[in-house]
Amino acid sequence: MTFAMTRLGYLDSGRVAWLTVDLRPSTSPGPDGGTAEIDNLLTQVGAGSREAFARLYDTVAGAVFGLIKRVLRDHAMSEEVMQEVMLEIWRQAPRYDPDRGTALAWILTMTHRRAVDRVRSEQATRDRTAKVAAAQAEVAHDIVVESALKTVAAAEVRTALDRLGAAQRQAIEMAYYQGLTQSQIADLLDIPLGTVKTRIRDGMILLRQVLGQMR
Amino acid sequence: MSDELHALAPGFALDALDELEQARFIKHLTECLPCQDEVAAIQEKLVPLALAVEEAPPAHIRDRVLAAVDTAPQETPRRPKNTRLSWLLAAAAIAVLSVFGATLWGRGGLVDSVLGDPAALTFEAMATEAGTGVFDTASVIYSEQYAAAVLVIDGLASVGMERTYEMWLVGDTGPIPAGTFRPAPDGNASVEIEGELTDGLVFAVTEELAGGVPSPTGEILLTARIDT
Repeated sequence: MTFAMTRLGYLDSGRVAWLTVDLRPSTSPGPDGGTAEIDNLLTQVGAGSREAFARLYDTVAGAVFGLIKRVLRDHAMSEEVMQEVMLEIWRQAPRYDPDRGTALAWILTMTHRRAVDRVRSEQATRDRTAKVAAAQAEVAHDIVVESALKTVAAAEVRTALDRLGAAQRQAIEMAYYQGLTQSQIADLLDIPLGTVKTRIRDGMILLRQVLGQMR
Repeated sequence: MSDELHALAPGFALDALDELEQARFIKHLTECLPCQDEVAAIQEKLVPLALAVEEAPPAHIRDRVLAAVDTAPQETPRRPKNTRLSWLLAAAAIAVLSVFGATLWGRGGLVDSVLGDPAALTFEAMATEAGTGVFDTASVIYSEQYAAAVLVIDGLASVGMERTYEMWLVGDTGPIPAGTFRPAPDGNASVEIEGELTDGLVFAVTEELAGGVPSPTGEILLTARIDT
């Protein structure tokens, strides 16, 4: 199996992958590049094609697993959730509607939710203290930055994140990469909930603009 | 008020809302097209953030997943036709229901109160044949304390802009409209059931033209017996 996102081509393009994908000729049906290809694969999966599912797996597995592992920070647990998510994709694929968004966003939305659900149930059972979580938050923050430098596209995302204020960036990273709720972030940072909401809202607006320009 | 709800969209797209906020926002989302668009747009913009932390999973996961998929069923897309559960049949079912003493009045803004009531009663809804595959699970939550009821449904198929789901309270005078709703993009909805629930009845949902209709034209997709 080749590295999934390499197939998406974003490492070569130097741009955020699925927008400017360089597909293998044998699997490239449309004029529209990778997004359309993944949409098409997921649609075929929705029609019951196990062959399409295997190809979809190879295409998205790196993104799905990477996101799960970033949120869970535990390899064994991430493997479990990875299997759950991929099975869920198979199960729910008939309900995917290309008119409502890209397959990749659909898949990663489902992935993030599953990972976050697991984090929260783990949090509940472990009854972690805020202190422990705060310590992990700092460590994870460093890892994100380091890992984000690994690839060109990741660096581009980092550039986008860098254009946010430090506070906005921190809030978005804590929410997206650590699966924390806005309330938990407020507790950890010891700031009002309203401030966290504002930071996330303003940060997402900015991020949308910056990443939009990069298209 | 509405602005406050709109402001929850980014937090929702990031899966960063508390449970109560999430329930409130999902309810709002079913009725707010701008918020649906915003959430969808944010979800698209989050894709690069996920790609930035990609990591190849161990090869054995692929084998396990593909093996599991070999035997795993899929959800049906939606709308198997087949047999209908007629309104007559639904109305007839009322005869066997026990009497439901309380009177419920739908009221705005009660969804979280009802969902947060630990003493609330849950009535499971069953899919009809026409409704098989249209949703995953659904139940009617009734809070005596707040004298209100909420339909909680997940995995619900989208209906598009020109259609809506409509709720009905089927009593012995026939079905009475109890509100319309659309699922959030993730297929979930928590909606207040409007109207009076007396003396036992059948709760039902159909798909109708956007805006709702005074009497049902679509097939019944699910029913719940309100039976204390």
